[in-house]
Amino acid sequence: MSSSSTTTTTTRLLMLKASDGVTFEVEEAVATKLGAINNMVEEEGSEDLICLPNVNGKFLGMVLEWCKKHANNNTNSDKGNDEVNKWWDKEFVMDLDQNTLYHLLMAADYLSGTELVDLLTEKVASMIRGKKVEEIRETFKIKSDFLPGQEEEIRKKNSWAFE
Amino acid sequence: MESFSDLPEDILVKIMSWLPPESLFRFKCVQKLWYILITSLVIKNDPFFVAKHLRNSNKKTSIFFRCIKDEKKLQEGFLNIYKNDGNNSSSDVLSYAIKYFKPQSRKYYDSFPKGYDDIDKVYKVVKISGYWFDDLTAQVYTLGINDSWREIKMREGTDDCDLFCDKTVCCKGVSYWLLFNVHTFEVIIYSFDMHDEEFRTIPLPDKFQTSSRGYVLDWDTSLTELNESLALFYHPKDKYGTVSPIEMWIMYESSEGHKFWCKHLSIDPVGGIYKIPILFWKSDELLMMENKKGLVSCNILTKRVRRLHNRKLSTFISFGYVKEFGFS
Repeated sequence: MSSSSTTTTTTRLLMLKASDGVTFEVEEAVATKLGAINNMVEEEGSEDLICLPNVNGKFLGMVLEWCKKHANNNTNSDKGNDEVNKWWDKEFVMDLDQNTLYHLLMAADYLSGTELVDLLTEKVASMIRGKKVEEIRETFKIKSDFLPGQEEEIRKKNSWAFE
Repeated sequence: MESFSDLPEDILVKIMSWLPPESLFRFKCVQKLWYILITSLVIKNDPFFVAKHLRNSNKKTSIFFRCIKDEKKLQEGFLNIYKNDGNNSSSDVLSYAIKYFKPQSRKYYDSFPKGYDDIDKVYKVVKISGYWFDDLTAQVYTLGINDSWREIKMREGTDDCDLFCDKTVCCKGVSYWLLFNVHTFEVIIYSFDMHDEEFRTIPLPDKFQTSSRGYVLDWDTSLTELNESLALFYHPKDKYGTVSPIEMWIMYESSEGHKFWCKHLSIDPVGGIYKIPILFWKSDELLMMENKKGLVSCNILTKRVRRLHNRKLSTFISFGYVKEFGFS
């Protein structure tokens, strides 16, 4: 859906092309919330089409949705915006599953979306914070590679963390 | 399908920066890579990790304390206070956990507040020690740079001084202590700048200056920190007789570097009983002590008092504010 309006004549539009060929038309002010795109715009100047071979369309779309919300909320400069952003961030990460979180994190990291990486890593941390060691191994799909006895030793030394 | 195990190490580190110490220490058991990663981040006090963790851990406050536990044994530990923010503020839940250290398993400097030198980007720990009739000595420890304490020269005129209490406050790269003169009982605030490593003295609010002698303060007077400013709890002298409110003063600094004190609030006795303010563990939640045993959290705005700890197991002696990592 194009949200064309006559008041945005000064806003430059960028075309972002994802790995699967899907393209997004985004205002420069929105896209430059991503450090990587900001650098490309500043260094390479006039190029309007930016190819992003490491991000697939689905996740690029989600990253841009986040950028758009934050860019819009930041234009009205009153103090309530922090609250609005926080509330919206909560909604954004609420129902993300592990697979989506993984791809979003990789996309946000690749695009240098520092604030979004912060939001997503906090979400992952909140999912694993109270878990047992065995549950972490299950979530991360990793196996213990300690020699027999080593794990018990670490547990003993850090017993307070297991109470 | 990819999973979290495919995440690159730098993202894993960012996730870890959001985890509380107990989770981090537990997760050392997950696999060798995690063990090495967490050990290198935490034990070696990686300054960037610690700085990030400091910013991220605003939902929990760790407070270092000393107490006398059963059988009159001196114990040290951390009081962790958590605030679980619900969607509306009325549903917030306060929970706490007390972790005692094993004395031998702790690094010595953990109980001292760390100060951040924002110019050289290093953490430093400063301690002042010395007892009655011993001269005070000051030592500095720079985390990750050298593994030893360096002696720092104190200012002249501190020969007759002793520490008023063993609580150090650190804000904006400066550490503060209350010192008193063993002969005159005058009290001064002594500060140490983490960057230029200079000691300075700071005057107390004018109000406290009596005409004949200098500043003579009640023994429950203490320094604390509020929103990165130095704050002072002042107990009017007649408190045992007439029950007058405890005052809290905050030190502000003008753009020219001029320091001045303003009275921030008065704390009325709760239910007619004095509670000794310890520190703000959140911007409006004040931790207070009752009869050296019970701990309560008092919301300064709503006046709501919540009891944290009232078991008669331990007698609290002192508290230190430790926002950063400090662990065994």
